Amino acid sequence: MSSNELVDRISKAGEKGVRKTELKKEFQNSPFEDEIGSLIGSGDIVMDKKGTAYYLWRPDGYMKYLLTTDTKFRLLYNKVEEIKIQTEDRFRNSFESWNKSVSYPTRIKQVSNLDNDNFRKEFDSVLKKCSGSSGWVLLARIREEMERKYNLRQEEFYSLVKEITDREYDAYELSSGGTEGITIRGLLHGFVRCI
Amino acid sequence: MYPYNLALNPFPSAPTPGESDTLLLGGRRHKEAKLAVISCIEDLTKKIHEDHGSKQFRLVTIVHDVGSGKTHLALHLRGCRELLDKAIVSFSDISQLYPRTTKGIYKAMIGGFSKNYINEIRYAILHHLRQRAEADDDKKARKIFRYTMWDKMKSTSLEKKMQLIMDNKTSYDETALKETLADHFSTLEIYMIQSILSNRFLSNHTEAISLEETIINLSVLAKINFIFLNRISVFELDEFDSDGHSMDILKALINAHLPSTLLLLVLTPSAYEQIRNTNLPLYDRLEKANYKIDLAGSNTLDEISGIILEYIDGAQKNSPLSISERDDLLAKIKILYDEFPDFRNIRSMINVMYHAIEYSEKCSSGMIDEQILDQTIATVYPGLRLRDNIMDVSVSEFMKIASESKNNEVIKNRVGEAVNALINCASNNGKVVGTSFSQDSGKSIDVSFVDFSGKKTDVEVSIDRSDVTSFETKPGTDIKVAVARSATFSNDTSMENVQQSSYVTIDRHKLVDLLYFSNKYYGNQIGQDDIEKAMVLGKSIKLY
Repeated sequence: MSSNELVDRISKAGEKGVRKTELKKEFQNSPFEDEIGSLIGSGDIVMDKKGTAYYLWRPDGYMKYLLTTDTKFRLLYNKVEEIKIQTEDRFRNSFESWNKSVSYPTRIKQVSNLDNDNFRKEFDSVLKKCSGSSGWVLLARIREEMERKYNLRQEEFYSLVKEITDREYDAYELSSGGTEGITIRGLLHGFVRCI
Repeated sequence: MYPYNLALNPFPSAPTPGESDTLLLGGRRHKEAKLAVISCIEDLTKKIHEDHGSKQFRLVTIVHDVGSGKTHLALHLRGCRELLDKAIVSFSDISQLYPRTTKGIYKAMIGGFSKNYINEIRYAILHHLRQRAEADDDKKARKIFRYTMWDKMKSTSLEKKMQLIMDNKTSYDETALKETLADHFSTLEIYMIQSILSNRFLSNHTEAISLEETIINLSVLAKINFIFLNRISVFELDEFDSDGHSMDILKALINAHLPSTLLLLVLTPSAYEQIRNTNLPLYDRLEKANYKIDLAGSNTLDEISGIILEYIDGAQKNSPLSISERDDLLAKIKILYDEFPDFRNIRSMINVMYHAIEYSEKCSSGMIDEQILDQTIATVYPGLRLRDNIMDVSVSEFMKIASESKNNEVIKNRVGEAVNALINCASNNGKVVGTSFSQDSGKSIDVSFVDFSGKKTDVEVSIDRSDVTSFETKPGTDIKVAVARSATFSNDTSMENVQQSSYVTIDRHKLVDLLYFSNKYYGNQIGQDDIEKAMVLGKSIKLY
């Protein structure tokens, strides 16, 4: 007799289980008690009393047996299941909101990448595209163009423009006017051009 | 006595330039813009001569920000020597007109010529008539001057008679004038000539004038200018904006193609954009202007420096600035320009220079030094501060430290000393325990200290700017100071070694902060305020 044969036999008994004495008769020529003790220890089978006799189950079969025979256990089980569902829902909701929240940093990352690597290139490109014969372009026009492409927020855009025009003051010129832009010397500067 | 041996303060002090301020024009870009206008006038003159007086008209625009020198350029053109024999320039500031009626604009345009204009054109007309009287023995022409037999007998010359008319001591014969000019001039032209000779030219327009009459009168005037003076008429309209009536008049003037005339429009990008939004036909015409004078870069450092030097050189041609004086002044202008965005325009910088020259004179200083600039800024711009410094560094200290920090080795050593001073100061104020020491390790300065948590920190300060030979204050060229940390933490159960290394970039403001603090610390001039700021400074370079 092998342990597998013993486990298969107990499995076939399902939620009813199998009486230990019956099983012992079937597996007479083997160290039955030792094998049963080892399988109980490893959790492969469960032993419990049904009336005055000892029965053996596989764990899932024993669970079904308890749910049908033990009211207290069934109520407790149902409560645990309820909590499990609630927890799973909460987790799912949290995950979704987290997903939403991580989409913002992703956008920031995109802006950040644009800032570091491509903002100036993109800015120059739009400036060149929008530039008329005088060279002056409304900053708002560039912002709208870049906003469409990169989903840049207004304050991010002007912060980056201020940074590059401050740093590269011999490459860009700003002019006062317009309805939005950068404030210098208390004047709103809403026009830009390349020098 | 003013500094740099100046007899007078050469800088103007006004929010907008006046006529006397615009005799000089400095800066490469402004000079190029001036040459572009002159070139346009020469081209126009050439075309008129080639086509024997055909109606030639040019439109020129200058579109730039406020304070970029547009008005200065326009006013300078009115009086510049290069145009004396080429053009008659009228300057009108449209912003001074309210309401913007046709009559108001017309009066401003004909009243915008220089003071000498009326005398010049009167003289030119009378001279022409005198030549006719002399050359052909034209009786009608002589009659204009009321030249009689009696004058001839007395040997009174026509020239003298002409001068009497010029001096308003006698009048000319109007009937004779009409008869003399009738062959070559229209009634309107003769009427205009009469107005000029009678000195009624500017006062003759008290009644309302229609747009059509305005165009005709300006055409007649331009024609007279070209015939008698052989010069182009230039009408400069400054501060042009999107006022509805002004735009209508301008469109009509452009459409009319005033003969031998150049119309120069000065406006801001903002006004240009408003015209685009409100009057597309006019915008289209402006877009098609013959010349667009570009003042791009008019507020750059080299342009502003060039203008400042032009004023000083223009005021003392006999003893120009020495090379060292020039370099010193330029270095100071650069620092003002870099550190104060407010001074990144010509007008503000000229104002600072005006006050600095005055203050130097009061202090009997031969030059504009750091203290004078400091005082000037404190007086004229009391709210202005060095914004990016943690320590309370004054403009003069900033300039002094900048001028002293021209050597890499010196900066390295002084930064090392400053770091050491910061640590000592922190230690004395409960921030760090144990002693600190500094050790010169050749290329870098090593400083070690132990803080309250038992963390021993070795700071290696090295200056990574081998290519820089002088103190560079341009934003973006930061000095990189590598701060490498190796720290050992200990507790009861185990010993854990943690190696940390970080690089702190110290920009020029922090560098000046460090050197300023170091100077004060070793000079025993540290106050409580300085200590608090020093703690922030130490934190900002990750020392604690």
